[in-house]
Amino acid sequence: MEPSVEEKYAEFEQRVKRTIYIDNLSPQVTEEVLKKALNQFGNVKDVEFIPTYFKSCKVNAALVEMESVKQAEDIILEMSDSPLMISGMPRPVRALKAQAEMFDERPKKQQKRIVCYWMDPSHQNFEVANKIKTLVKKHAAEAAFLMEQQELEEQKLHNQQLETLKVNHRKYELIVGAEKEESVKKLATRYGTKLSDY
Amino acid sequence: MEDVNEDGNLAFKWLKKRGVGGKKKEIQFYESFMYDGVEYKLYDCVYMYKEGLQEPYIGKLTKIWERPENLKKVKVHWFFRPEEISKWLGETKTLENEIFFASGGGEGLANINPLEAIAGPCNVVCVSNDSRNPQPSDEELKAADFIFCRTFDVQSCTILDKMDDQVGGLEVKYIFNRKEGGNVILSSGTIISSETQRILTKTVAYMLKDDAKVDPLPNLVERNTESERHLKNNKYGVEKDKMKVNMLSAEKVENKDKKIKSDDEKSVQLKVAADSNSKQQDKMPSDDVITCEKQNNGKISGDDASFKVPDNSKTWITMNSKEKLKSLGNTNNLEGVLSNHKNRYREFIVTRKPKAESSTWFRPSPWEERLKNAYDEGSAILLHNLKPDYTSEDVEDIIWHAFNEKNCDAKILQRSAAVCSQHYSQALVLLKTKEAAQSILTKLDEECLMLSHERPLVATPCPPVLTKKNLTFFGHLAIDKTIFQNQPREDEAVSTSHFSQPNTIEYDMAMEWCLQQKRCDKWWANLDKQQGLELKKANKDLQLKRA
Repeated sequence: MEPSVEEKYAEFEQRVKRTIYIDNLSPQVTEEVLKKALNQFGNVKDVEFIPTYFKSCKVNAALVEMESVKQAEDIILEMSDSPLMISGMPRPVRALKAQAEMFDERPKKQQKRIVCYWMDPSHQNFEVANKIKTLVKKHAAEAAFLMEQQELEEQKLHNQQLETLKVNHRKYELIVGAEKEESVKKLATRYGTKLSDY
Repeated sequence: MEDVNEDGNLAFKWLKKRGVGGKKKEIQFYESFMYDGVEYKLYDCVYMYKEGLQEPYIGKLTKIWERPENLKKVKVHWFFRPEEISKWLGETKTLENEIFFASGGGEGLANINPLEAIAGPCNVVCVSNDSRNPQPSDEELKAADFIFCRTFDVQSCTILDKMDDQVGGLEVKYIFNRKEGGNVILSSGTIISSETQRILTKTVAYMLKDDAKVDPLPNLVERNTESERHLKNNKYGVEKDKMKVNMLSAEKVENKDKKIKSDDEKSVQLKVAADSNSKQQDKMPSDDVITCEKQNNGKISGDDASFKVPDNSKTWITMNSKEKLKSLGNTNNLEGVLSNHKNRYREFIVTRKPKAESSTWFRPSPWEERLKNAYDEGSAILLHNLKPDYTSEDVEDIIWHAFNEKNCDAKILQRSAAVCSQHYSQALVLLKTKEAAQSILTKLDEECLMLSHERPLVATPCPPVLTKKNLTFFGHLAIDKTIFQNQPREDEAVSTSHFSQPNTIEYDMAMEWCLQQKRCDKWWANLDKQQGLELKKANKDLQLKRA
């Protein structure tokens, strides 16, 4: 027996619940890496990347199906507690509950009928409908703009952190260098302190 | 996936047997079989798979048999695509999706192939006006993958309009549409073939665009049946010529017809081509094509900006008698035709598009590749304002119903957490040609297609696509031999995952990223909320007006 549309959808809903949405992923992360990373917390059943098609959209995300709903929920909780690094740092990945719309192949919810019509241009609602069309376009443009802004912010933070890291790195090298040159020892004798304190 | 038997082959089953043949009666012939979940019958049209070939061949099964040792064979009578015989087509115009049946004798007519080379069923509809051909219904035409009405003689390499009782050794009844179902039209002379009628519908739809107030008049369909009856009574024996006329290429007719040029170039032209079968009738004007031009008067107003007659909209109406021609030629009747299409603004229910290639044999190239190609060709568009619960299939069906565009490939864009609006989803649609994409864009722009729940469909050209995996990613830092907090981390740290521990620089930085993420989430949430409000308001306007 073929399962009915409703049964299929119910099954799909269960799958959605078992699935974690993960974004802020590096494009270098592969299915293997992701699987390994999350197998620490449970059993990964399936990994599916959400493809990005456009130059303008730079969201790297994946759907990870776990063995049970419980596992998925636990992981989301744990990952919101401590930042998890996958294939790089310090930008952590983020885990959220998956939504049905995130899936590529999703069954029909019910045997619904889609009813369409071409609106008569003389219809009184034609103007309003056109306004909605413009609105939709505007919204898409707004979203694209925000995407751009987000990327700019990310870039800013990236550069800023890179700077901080470089400074820290230099400091550390200075200390290591000082140790090597034995100038630390000399200083210690001069000030009469013991090196073990350091 | 399809059922797979032990040999790893696609599921196969013989159905109806025919006779046996061969010297020792070792060959069993069959009438039908089941392959890869599809039932095939003798004289069905199929796609034939050929390795390395972009487009599969199309052929008609004319013999099915099995030899000992399980060798399943089919004899396939070929169709030709126009591009395969372009060398001999010359200036001959072809219809949309038209293919040619092989005729004559010799190489290229038919071949024996292993049954396993069948890639899938192909819906080929014969639109020949031949009296022996059961005329296809509009639905059948809509569902057709290809149409044909002419043959290509493989010996002389010429296009033939006529079909004799035997074509390439095949009885003509197996070439025409099958007489099954209720859609057999018995008339010997269908005056307006469904094909032309369909084209007419299109044209008229354009004409009507800005003028919904056309008086209802007896419509053309009625007229049709009337003349059919008339025809039957008179028992014309004119079938053979009919075909010829229908096939008059646009150019030919253009040369012949008397044009009544109007000053207004944008006037609507409706050409009525008379059937040349008049030679068996009483006097018909020597030139068998009469053009009647409907001027751009107040009644059928073609809005200059939006009025676009597609190329294929040259409408030929073949008439069987002078009187009828006259009656159609007069304006009132034209409007009668138009009123037939008043239901253009009526709702239509989107049903499942017939599957073009249901076989699992064709593995289409990956979606990314197809998108890239379509983007380069300009045949990709992005649809907005879809209901979030539509599936990609639904979108394809909508495109099919609204634009009669069968060759489309749709994909709902998967939502990613914050970025995509919760109010609607988007879908990418790849079409066969740039023209098809353009026409949908303009049509959706100028007109208004309302989906369920009063959503007008919006289309924009496809934004630039990623050519290769974009590798810029912010937030992952690395310094040569980076040393974090006394613990030297090597490259292996990059390929593993770990929770960040508090009290490290890494942790601090990670917190900064979390903060950044939260900030972005807020932005998106705000945007979403605001857009939702705007939409709600607009929808309210819609309902107010409706009330």
